[in-house]
Amino acid sequence: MIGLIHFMVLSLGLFVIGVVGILINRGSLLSVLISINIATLGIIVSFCVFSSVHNNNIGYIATLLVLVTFIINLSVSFLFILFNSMQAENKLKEGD
Amino acid sequence: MIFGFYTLTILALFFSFLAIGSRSNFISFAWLLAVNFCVANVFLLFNNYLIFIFVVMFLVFLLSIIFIFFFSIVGVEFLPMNKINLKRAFLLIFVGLAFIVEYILFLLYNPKLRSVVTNKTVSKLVDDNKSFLLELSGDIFGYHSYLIILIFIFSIIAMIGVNYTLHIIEKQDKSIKGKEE
Repeated sequence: MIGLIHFMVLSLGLFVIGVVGILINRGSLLSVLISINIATLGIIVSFCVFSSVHNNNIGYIATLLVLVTFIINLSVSFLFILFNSMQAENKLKEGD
Repeated sequence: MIFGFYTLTILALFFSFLAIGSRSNFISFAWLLAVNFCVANVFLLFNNYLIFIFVVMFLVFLLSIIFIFFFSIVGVEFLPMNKINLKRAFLLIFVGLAFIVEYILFLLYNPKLRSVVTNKTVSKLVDDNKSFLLELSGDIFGYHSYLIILIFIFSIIAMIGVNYTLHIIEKQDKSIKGKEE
């Protein structure tokens, strides 16, 4: 039977990996953003699990708020990637 | 169910390690999508309604990609339309499409969720639900295990395909840059 502890392990694991990622990849902004996303996923899991355990919808509402920031984060990350690749190609062209 | 949960947990943790460890931004972004897949499937395993939110999230993400490429196609010089960028875009769209297919399957084969969408009672939907796929799969695997098998297949194909192809593209990029230098 899967209980609360199993979900908490998943949540804690994701959060710890996210924090470690932030600490390791301080130089790269995009890697920090990706690490923040992973940590956010851990938080979302714990929110959902606790709200379902306590039969309370407040956790789901908080999850919605977190997910909105998550979407923005993802879009910004993707735009960063695009701009990075664009700049790299421009530099290559200038080099030619 | 327990096997599915453990598999998804291990995969999510492993992929998140890869996401923070990859040197290439694009590959780590693809691993992040894989982590998203795994966590969304954890919710899916337990019939959680948050799958809707994840689907909306992916739709927004996909739309942003599609808009960027639409602008570049109609002439706004936002992103150079070379072969590699096109491949990347199609791969990301493929990930999103795989997720949407999962969602549709979930919606079609879950009477509880269909009752939320169509405002029908669950029992009536179960009566209506005698589609050929359900009849085909229901007897052999049972209703939920069939769904879970499909989800695993879609997720694993999407994750492996995208990440492997992105790896090859990055290799090609490096070799092209090496030749140019």
